[in-house]
Amino acid sequence: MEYVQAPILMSQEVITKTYRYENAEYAIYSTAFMVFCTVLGLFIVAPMFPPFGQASASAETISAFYQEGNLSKKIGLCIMMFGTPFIIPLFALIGEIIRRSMNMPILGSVQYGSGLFGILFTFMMTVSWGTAAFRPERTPDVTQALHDMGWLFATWVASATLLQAVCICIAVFKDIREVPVFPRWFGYYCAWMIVLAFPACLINIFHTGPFAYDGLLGFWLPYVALFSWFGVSMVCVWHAVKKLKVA
Amino acid sequence: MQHIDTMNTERRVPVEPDFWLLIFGDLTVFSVMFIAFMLRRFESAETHAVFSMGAESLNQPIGLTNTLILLTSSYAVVLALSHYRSGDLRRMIRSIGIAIVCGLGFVCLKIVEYTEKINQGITVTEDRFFELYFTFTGIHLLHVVIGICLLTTVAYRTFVKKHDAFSTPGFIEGVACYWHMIDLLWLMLFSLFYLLG
Amino acid sequence: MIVTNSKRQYSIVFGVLVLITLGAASLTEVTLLPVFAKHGVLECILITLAAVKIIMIAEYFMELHDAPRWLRGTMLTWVATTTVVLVGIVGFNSQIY
Repeated sequence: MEYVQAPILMSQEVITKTYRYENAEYAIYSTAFMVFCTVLGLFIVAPMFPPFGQASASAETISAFYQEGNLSKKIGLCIMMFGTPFIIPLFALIGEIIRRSMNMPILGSVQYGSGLFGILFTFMMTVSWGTAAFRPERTPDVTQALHDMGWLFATWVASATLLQAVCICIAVFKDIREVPVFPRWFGYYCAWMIVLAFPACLINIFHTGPFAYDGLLGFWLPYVALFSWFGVSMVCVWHAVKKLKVA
Repeated sequence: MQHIDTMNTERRVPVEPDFWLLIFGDLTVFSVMFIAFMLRRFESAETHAVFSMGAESLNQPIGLTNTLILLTSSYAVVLALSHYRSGDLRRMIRSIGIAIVCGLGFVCLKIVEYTEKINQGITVTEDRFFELYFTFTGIHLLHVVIGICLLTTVAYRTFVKKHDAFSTPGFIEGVACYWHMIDLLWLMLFSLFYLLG
Repeated sequence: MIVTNSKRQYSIVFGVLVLITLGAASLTEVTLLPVFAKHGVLECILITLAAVKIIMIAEYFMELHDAPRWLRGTMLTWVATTTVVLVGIVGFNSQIY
């Protein structure tokens, strides 16, 4: 029996290891597309980011912000809306690596689920701002409320990011094989993300100061961390996939 | 993880090189917060007065006690690490226990301080000083709570002699370093909020 | 082998830290030198004392004293930069207020 079984098992292993991650690079290209859409839509076409002094601005200022360049805001938010779901392949790939290759099924699933939860927040942010831009001539108070709601959705994505970062962090630290799938600094980077997610949760309390949604700890540090996390995770997943294909 | 203990060099990186990314990332965030505090303090003559009055109204003895408590717990963690290295696990667990008790004492005193302020009607949105006071010390308090959880994990895993990724020498050293970082940040927060008045 | 500090050294460092803390706290109570407080000298002294304590904790408790040069250098650079910026803000503004 042993003589028959062994080669079959081995070939099965070869098949799973080789074909599971075939074309996995497309997940990374897709993430790059999502980052491109975000930068093009939110930073260039519709300059929603960064929000200079908007947390303490009057309703009329916010309304005027939506009235000037109204069409470009609509187009930019459209691009953002289109690009948002293209990060799902990255979360799926990280989830699959954690689930199968690192053999931690629950952590992988929770990571994927919280990633999807976070995308919902980002999408609702686009919807809020899109609604605010839809009728710019309406009462300024309503426009301001929609704008603020969009910012709360945008920054409270921290709740999902926190859980996701915790999952990746635990998975990386539990992987103590000779050649780990993810480098350990990726785990520490995620731990740092967890630390940065705390101040971002306080944006609903403050209108001014570093914790408001246009402040240093409410906007700049969390978003620098988030966007650099996209880059860092793309690089780490790229190397992990390369490693897993060879193994 | 094996390479951490067998590294037979004179100049040795504590924990592991990757770990310092977290520490320096955290330190950078806090130094940005310190500088933001200072800049807001000197924004105008009015804010300067508000900050002076705020620092006067804080409970100085509790702040000083908290500093001494955190220093003691740091000392206990250092002793625990040296007991761990000499293989004396029982005394190590006892030292970590002292550190955990000190950490819990810190949390309790901080809660006493917060309730005292809230009973006086001073909350987060009171003025510019208390806005920063509550948020900065709150974020630091979250660090302390995370640190207590990590120390408890280490003590428990050493007690039941469970061997996995969270009971390696590297992890224990990392938790110790994290605890020292919390202590180090509190020293600066204490000077900024309580002493500069 | 890991070169560990002796427990005596840890105790000395701890004692010095406690003494500096108590000293810094008592400095604020002393009203003998009102000139200090006026020009922000006291504030600079307090920040520098905190920086000294931070360096002591980093060097002895975090065991950076026998770490490679890049790590020690980064830590000392962080402490020095933060302290210099804080003291600089105090020094720049204390003439005005």
